[in-house]
Amino acid sequence: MSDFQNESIWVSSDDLQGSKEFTETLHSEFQNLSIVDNIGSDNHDHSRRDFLKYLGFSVGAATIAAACETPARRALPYVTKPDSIVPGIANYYASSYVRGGDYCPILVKTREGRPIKIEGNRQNPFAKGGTSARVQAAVLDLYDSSRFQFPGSVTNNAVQESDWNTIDKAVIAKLNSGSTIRLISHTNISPSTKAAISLFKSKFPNTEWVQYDPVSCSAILMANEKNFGQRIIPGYRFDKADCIVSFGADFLATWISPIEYAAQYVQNRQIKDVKSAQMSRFFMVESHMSYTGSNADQRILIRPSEQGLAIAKLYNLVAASLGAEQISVSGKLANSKSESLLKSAADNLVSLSRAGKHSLIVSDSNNTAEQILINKLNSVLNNYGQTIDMANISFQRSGVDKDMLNLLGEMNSGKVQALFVLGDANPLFELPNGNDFKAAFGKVGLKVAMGTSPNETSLNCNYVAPTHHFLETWDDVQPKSGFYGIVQPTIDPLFKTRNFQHSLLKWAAVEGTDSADFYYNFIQNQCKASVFSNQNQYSSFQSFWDSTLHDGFSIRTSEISGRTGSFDLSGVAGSITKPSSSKLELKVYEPIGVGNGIHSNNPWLQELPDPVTRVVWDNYLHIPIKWNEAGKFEYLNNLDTDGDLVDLKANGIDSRIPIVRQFGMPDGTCAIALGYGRQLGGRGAVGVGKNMNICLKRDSDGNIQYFVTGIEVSNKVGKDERFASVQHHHTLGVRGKDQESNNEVINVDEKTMMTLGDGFQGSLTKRTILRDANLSNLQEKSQALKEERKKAKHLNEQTLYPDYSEVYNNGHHWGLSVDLNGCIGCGACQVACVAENNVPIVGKKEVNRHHEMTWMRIDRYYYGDVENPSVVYQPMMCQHCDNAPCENVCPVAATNHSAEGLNQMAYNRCVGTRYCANNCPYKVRRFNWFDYTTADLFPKNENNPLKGDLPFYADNLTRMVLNPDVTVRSRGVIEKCSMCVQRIQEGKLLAKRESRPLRDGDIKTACQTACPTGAIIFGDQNDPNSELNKRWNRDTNYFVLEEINVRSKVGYQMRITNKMESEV
Amino acid sequence: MSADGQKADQGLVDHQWQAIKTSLTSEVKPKIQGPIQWVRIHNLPDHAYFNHSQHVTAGKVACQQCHGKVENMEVVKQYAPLSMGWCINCHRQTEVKFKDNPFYNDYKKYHEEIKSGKRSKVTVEEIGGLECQKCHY
Repeated sequence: MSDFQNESIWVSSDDLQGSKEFTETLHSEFQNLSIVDNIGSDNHDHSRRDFLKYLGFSVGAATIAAACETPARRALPYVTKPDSIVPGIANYYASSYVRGGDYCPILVKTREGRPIKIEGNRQNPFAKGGTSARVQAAVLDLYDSSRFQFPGSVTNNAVQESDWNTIDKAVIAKLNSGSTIRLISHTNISPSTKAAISLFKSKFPNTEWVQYDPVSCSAILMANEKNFGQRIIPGYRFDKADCIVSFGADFLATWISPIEYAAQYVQNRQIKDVKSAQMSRFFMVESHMSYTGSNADQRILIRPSEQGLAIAKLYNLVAASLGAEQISVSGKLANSKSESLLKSAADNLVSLSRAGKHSLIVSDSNNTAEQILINKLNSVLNNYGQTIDMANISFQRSGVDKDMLNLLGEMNSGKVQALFVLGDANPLFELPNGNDFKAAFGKVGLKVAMGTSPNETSLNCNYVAPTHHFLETWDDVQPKSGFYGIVQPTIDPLFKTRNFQHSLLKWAAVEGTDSADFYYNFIQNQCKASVFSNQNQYSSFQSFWDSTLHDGFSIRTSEISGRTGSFDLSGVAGSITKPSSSKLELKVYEPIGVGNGIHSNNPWLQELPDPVTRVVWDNYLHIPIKWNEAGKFEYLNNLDTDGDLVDLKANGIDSRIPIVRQFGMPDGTCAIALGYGRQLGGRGAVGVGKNMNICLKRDSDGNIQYFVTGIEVSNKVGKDERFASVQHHHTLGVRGKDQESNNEVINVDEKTMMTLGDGFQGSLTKRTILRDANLSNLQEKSQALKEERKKAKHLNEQTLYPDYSEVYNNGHHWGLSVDLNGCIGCGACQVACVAENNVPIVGKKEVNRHHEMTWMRIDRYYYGDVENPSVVYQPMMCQHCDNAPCENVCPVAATNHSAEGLNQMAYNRCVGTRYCANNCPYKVRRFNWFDYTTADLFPKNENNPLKGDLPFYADNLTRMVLNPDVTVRSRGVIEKCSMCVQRIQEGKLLAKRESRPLRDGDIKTACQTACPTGAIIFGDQNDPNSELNKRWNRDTNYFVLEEINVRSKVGYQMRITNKMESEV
Repeated sequence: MSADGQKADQGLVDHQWQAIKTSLTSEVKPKIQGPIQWVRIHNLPDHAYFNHSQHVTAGKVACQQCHGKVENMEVVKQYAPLSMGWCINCHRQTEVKFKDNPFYNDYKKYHEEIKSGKRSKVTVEEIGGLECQKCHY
C-alpha cells in the first residue's frame, strides 16, 4: 500500500495492480486491428441499437448521381438579399438556453440562416461566458429528426398527422369554462409563460399548474418555507466562501445552477503567484465519487443513509463551539475516519467564523429536516447575507414533490378532466411512481402533450400539440430575481410547431391568437409592463427592447442581503434520515450528460464520457474498490472486471446491469446514474441502460429520496461485450507492473512502444505528465518543478540537429494554456470541439473498439490515498509540437508544420498509414476506420460495412448542424485537433481587413469559449503581453513530456489542492 | 437583424418591395418571374477555403486578375484554371501590402530587413501562403 501512496498517479485499479490483461490491452493502440474481419463478417450486421448508434436521428438518404460530364451547377440568388446575411459570414444572436429550470446566457452562431454552434455570452455576469456540455449539445436537438414534426392524435404510441385547425377544434370541444384542468411542467422560469398561464386560468378558473423538477430540490424549498416563510432557493455565492462543505450537492455538474456556480467556485481558487497563494477549502461529504466530489480538497465518505447523521454531527460540532443549541442524535458513522474528518471540517468552519470570515454549507438532501439543519448551520456561521443571498433569489427549481402526489390523487379520483403536459415534462419516466401516473392517465378524458419530442408521457396522451425548440422561438426568462433574459429565434420553425403558450391561449379564446406573432407581442407587452417599468436607463420602450435584445439580457440586481429566519429545531432530530443497517446501499445520481433522461436522445451527450468513470452510452453500477491487509484489492462479489453483468435488486425491481469498479466509495455502497432506460422516444434514447427512477422511494413529506437501502447485487452473470469505457484508450504514461520482468514498475505506455526495440529507457518511467501540489507545499513543489524543467531543458539542448526556433520568432507563434487548477473536467470543451469541428459520433460498439474520434479528451487520473484518492482532470489535445514526432514519419507529408507553429493535417493527402498516430507520444490522433459521416462521394464504390444502416450525420436534417468551414473527413484518413485553424484564419483576416494588428483575445478556440471556468486560453507566444505568456511564465507552468524534446505548445499549470496538512 | 427591427422597418420594406415589383413587372409580364438562375462558371475544387475579401480588400487584387476581362465577355467563361498549382504560383509571386497594413507589424524580422535594405518585398509565400492549412481546414 505504502508503495503507491502519495507519489503515484493511476487511472484505474488494473493500472495500479498491473494486471496482465491490462498491460496487453495497452500493447496496441488501436484495438482489433483486423478491419478485414469486420468488413467481411455478418457479425457486424448491426442492430440499430449498437454499432453507430445513430440516435433519434433517422434517415433520409441523399443519392448522388454520377454523370459523365461536369454538370452545370446553378445558383439561385436572392431577389432582395436580407442585409444581415452574407453567404460565408456567420451571424451571432444573443439568446438564452432554457431547459426546464436550467439556464445559460448564450450567443448562437448561425451560417446562412441555420444555427450551428452555441457559445457563452461573455457580457452576461451570470455565467461570465461559461457553458456546459448540455448547452453545447443543445443545437443538435434542433435537428433531431425524431422531434414532433406536426400536430396530431396519438394511437398506439404513434402520432397520426393532423393540422392545427383540427387539433384546436378537438381540444376546444372538450373544454368548457368549468372544466377541471391541470397543467404539468418542469420548473418554468419564463415570466411570460407565467402570465400566459394566469390568463388561461382566468378563462378556466378550475385550472392548476403543477411544476416539478426532473431531479427534485423539494426539501430546500420546504425548509426555506418553514424558516423564512417563502418557498425559495436562495442565491448561493461560492466565490465569497473561504470554506465550502457540500453534503452530496453536485453543484459543479447538475445541482440547481452548475454553470453559474462553477464560475463562482474557481474565482477564489486560482493561483497566479505561488508566493501569495490563497484559495478556498472544499469538503465534500458524499457516498460515491461524484463529479463535484472529484474536485474537492477533502472527500469524506459516508453511506447514503448516513447523510442526515453526518449533517447533524457537523452541526453539533459547530454549535458546541459557537454556543448554539444542539440537537440530540446518536450513532456513529460506519467509516471511522469520516468522524475525525468531519471534526476537522467543523474546526475549519469554526475558526473561520471566529475570524469573521464566511463559509457555505449546501446539501442535495431531499429531507426537509436535514435542510432545516443546513439552514441553521449556515445561520450559526453567519453565512446569510454573505455567501447566501436572500435578495437575489433563484427561480431555477420550484417543484415540491408532494404537489405531484396530490395531482396523482386527483387524477385517480377522476376529478381531472383535462391534462396538458407542457414542454419536455415526462412524469411517466422521471418520477418514481411513473407507472402509477400511467395508470392514472387512463382516468383523464383529455391529455395533450405540448413538448418538442416524443417520450413516455407524450406518447400516452391523446393529442400532440408540439411546441418550438428554444432556438426557433421567442421567449423570456428570469432565472434569478433581477436577471431578465430573452430567447430569440435563430431560424424559422423547421416543422409545423407552435408555442405551447400560444396554443393554450388559443384554446382559451384569447384575443389576437389568430396572429402568428401573438406570443411575440405578448412577451413584449410583458416586458413593457414588468421589466421596462422598473428601470430608468431608457425612456422609450423601443430603445430598451432593442438594447435588451441585442445583449440578450437586462440585469438589475440588488445588494447581497440576508434575512432573519426562525429556525425551530424541535422535531428535527427525529425527522432526519436514520442510518440503515442493511449490508448494501445504492446512491442514485443525475449524470452530467443526459440528466434525468431529458437529454438522452442527444448523441453528443451520450458519447461524452462520464468524467469520473469515463464510460459512454450506458449506465452501470459503480462498485467500491476495497484494499485488504494483504495489499490486494477486493471487490464486491469478486467482480473484478469492468463490464461484468450482475443482477441488481433494488426496492423490489430487478435489472441486469454492467458494473464498473470505482475508487473513493465507502464500503457497502454502490451507485448508479439516472436518466437511462428510456422506453419511448428517439433512437438514441430508447434501450440504452436501465431506468432507476422506478426504484426510488419517497419520505413522509412525499420528497423523493435519491438512494435505496437494502439492495442486492448478484455474482457475475455475464459480460457486456460492448461495454464502452475510454478509460484505457489512448493512455499516456500510465504506470503498471510488468509481469514479464519480476513485477517491476514500468511505464506501460512505453513498454508498448519499446517492445519491438531494445527495451526500456528506464529513466523515462517518471515522465512529466501530471504535476500537483498542495497549498501548504506549493513553494517547494514549484521549486522542484523549476529544477525538473531546467534538467529537461539541458537534456533537450544536447542535440545534433539544427535549431529552427528562429523560424517561429517572426509573425505569430500560437500556443495554448490549460490551468489544471481551473479545469473541473466538465466536458463542455469536448462537446464544443465536436460541434465546431464536425467530429463524428461513432456509437457504443465502436467506442468499445477504441475507435472514438474526439479530438480532445479529458484524462482523469487518481493520486494520493488509494482508499480515498484525489482526482485530477487533464484535457489532452494535439500539442502542436514544434519538433513533432508525427510529422517526420509521414511518408506523404500529409502532416507538417506551419510557420505559425501549427501542426497541420492535410486530409486529402493522407493515405492512412497511421504511422503518425503510433508515433504520437500524447495519443491524440484519430483514424477514420469507417465512413462515419458518409463524406465519401460515391458510397456505391465502397464495400459498405454499415450494411444499409446510415450513420450519424448521414441524414440531411442532421447535416444542417455541420460547420461549413471545416472539412467533413472521409474514411481512411487521420484527423486531430487543428487548434481551430478556421478561427485563427478568421481572426487574422478580420484584423487584416480592418488594417490593424491582431489583438490578444481576438482569436478564441472552441474549447476556450466553452469553458465555464476559463481554464483554457489560446494566444500568441510572440506577443510578450499576451495572457498566454502570463500563464506560461507562472511558476506552476509545465509542459507535458517536456523532457522528450518534442517542444509541445500546450502549457499546463499545476493542479493545486488545499487539503489540511494532516491529509497531504 | 432582429425580427423586431424588421417589424419596425416594415413600412420601408413594403415601400422598397413595391419599387422592386414595379421594376420587375410590366403589362406583358404581370407576375415576377423569380430570380434568374445563375450558372456557376468559376467552381473552386472541394475542400479549399477561399475568401474574396482576403484577396480584394486585404490583398488589393483586381477582379480581372482571376476572372479575366469579364466586362468585355459576351459569354462569361472560366479564365483561370483555379487549380492548386495556379493558386500556389500566384502566392509565390505576389507581394503582400506589407508596409501599408499594420496587421503585418507582427512580422518584426521582415520589417528590420526592409529597414536595413536586405529585403525589398515580402511575398505571400514568405508569410506562410503555401502552407496546407491556409486553405485546407
